[in-house]
Amino acid sequence: MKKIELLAPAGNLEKAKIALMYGADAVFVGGKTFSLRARASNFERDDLSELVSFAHQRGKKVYVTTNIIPHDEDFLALGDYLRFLENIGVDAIIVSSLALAELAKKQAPNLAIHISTQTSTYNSIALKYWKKKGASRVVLARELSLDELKEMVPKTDLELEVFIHGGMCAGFSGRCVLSNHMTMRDANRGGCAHSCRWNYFLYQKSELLPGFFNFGSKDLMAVPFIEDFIRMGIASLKIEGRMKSIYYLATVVRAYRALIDSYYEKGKIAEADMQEAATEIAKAENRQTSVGFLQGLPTVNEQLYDNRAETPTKEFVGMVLDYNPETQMALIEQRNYFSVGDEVEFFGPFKKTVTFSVPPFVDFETQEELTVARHPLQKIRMAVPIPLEPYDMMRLVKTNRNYESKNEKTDD
Amino acid sequence: MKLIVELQDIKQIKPYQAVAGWLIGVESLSSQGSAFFPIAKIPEIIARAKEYNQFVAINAGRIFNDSELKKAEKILAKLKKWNIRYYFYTDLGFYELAKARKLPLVYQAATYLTNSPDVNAFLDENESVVVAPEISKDELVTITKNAKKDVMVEAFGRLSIFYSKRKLMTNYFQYRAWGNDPKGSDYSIVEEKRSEHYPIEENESGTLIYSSHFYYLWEEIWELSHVSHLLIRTKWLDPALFDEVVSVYDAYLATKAGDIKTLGIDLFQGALYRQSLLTKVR
Repeated sequence: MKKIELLAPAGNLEKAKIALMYGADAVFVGGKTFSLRARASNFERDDLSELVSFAHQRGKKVYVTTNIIPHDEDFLALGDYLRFLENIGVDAIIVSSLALAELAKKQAPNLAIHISTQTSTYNSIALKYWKKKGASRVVLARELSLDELKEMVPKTDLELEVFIHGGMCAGFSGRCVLSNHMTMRDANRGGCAHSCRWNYFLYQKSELLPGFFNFGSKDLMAVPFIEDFIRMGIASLKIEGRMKSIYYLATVVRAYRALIDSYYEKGKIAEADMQEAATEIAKAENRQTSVGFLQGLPTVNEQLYDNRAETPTKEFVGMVLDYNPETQMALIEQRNYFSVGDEVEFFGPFKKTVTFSVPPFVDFETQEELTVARHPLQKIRMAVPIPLEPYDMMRLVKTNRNYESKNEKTDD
Repeated sequence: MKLIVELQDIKQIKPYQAVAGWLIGVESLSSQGSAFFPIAKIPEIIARAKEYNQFVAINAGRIFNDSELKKAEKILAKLKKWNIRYYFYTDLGFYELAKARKLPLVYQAATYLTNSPDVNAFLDENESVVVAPEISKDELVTITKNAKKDVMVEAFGRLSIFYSKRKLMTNYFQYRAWGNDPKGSDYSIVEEKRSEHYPIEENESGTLIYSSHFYYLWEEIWELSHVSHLLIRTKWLDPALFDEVVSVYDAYLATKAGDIKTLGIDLFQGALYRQSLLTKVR
């Protein structure tokens, strides 16, 4: 049986590399144009080339989103762009437009075509349509339940991709133009203003009903269902979120990687492993999560009311740039405030999380001894008796505020 | 250039100069529509329309899961016996089923048909398509002129701007522990910093939100004379105004006389003369 793919989002080159290093089998990214996340920093052509080399050297794949709903003007530069993607060895493009898919077949025939979830492919007969159009994979509508998915998989030889984590559209993807109407931002060309997550007043005739009406969706979290997806023959498990931070990506990718590996190692995923994955994800997740449609039509429990945000339980405070195993000295780049005595966790790809108390450290540039790291991207040298590697991350578990306040005036 | 009008009530069928046919919402096939008629009512509607040399088109605009599609297949088997001029659809699974039965199809993907290549790609496999309304007038003219076959455009009505499978009203009322009827047709939402009312409706297909005003084409129509049909959507239109709206378009197409703006309806022209943005302007 072909091993299921873990597919991660990446808004820029750094995020893509982190996602691949933390266990993604493939990443999906957008170029500067033709992609549905206009606000993500997205990739210049040079970055795309570098990413493809980086991924292929590690036996991994890169898919490029070209899933805007194009207007006539967008087609002017598309042929050249598609040929570029083919030339650098991109593994597939993700498309919503039939015309764009047909253009790709003519202009860049070696590019595999994945049909975007924007097409709302919601039944097995629609899969036949996309098969005839030359697609190799369909990213299914997020409205499908596990039971519906189980029935669909045997009916096609197309690869099927499902979302397992991240933001959910409240409506059928691609069918919503709330953003166009409320802000003139074109939802289907990367400008979605997320109008479904705003506060609304609800009227019945002319009577204003009390409180805010909300209809946004909680984020999807499919930790309990990974084994089901593998067993039913889904080809790829997709994490959403090209706007998310490297910390979020590392945490979420690593958690799902562990679950998938656990299945292939033991033939099942233990409850404890699922619990551990959910706990890990909560350390980086800043929105409420639910099972979406996986257990049937969403109920009140899958909706986001009163727009309550949740803060991650753990804060990303540093990334390891280098580690000398002989001297046990780590070079760490500060990403958020931390101080001596703070309890932190180090975690990295394919390794267990280790808890550690921050010892006195020095500024790498000035060699000044410090008790607090205040400055973003400040480089810190610190003795850490735990084997570390570049791109391992450090997150805050418990702050040592007493130490910080006692020593506030002596530092910096 | 003729009109296809969304029917609210069978009594509204009567002779008009420019009305070529009626678009009929059908239970288990439609997601949006002024009325969802039971299948058993269709022969009567066809007979009535035929009296005035008008046709009937079926709105099958739902997005179907496998079990819903099986039900749709049974309905198609019944409909195939009757003289249906067009089937308007959006789901490509429905396309596969209907194509196998050689049914005359109109792809009404609303948000998707925003460019000439896609319009022509879908015209290759359909009798016609409905061009998306969220584009500029210049785009509308260009796309319809570039079309290799007859195309249709939205000319009047509240646009469906959001379609969800979720039971959003049911869930919300449950959250509030209110006993309101989630399927009521008199709800609207207003964003907290804005003032426009957007009608919202839950039905058997899910939840839909419609534009705050009635979209309309008027003088622009004469730049679209190569279009085969203009669509008049009557969802949320007061039945008392139905005949006035249809008549004013009917007369305008026949004589260029009249003015839709005199009817006192909240009108807007969407993106026709406004450049849409890709990102927030800071």
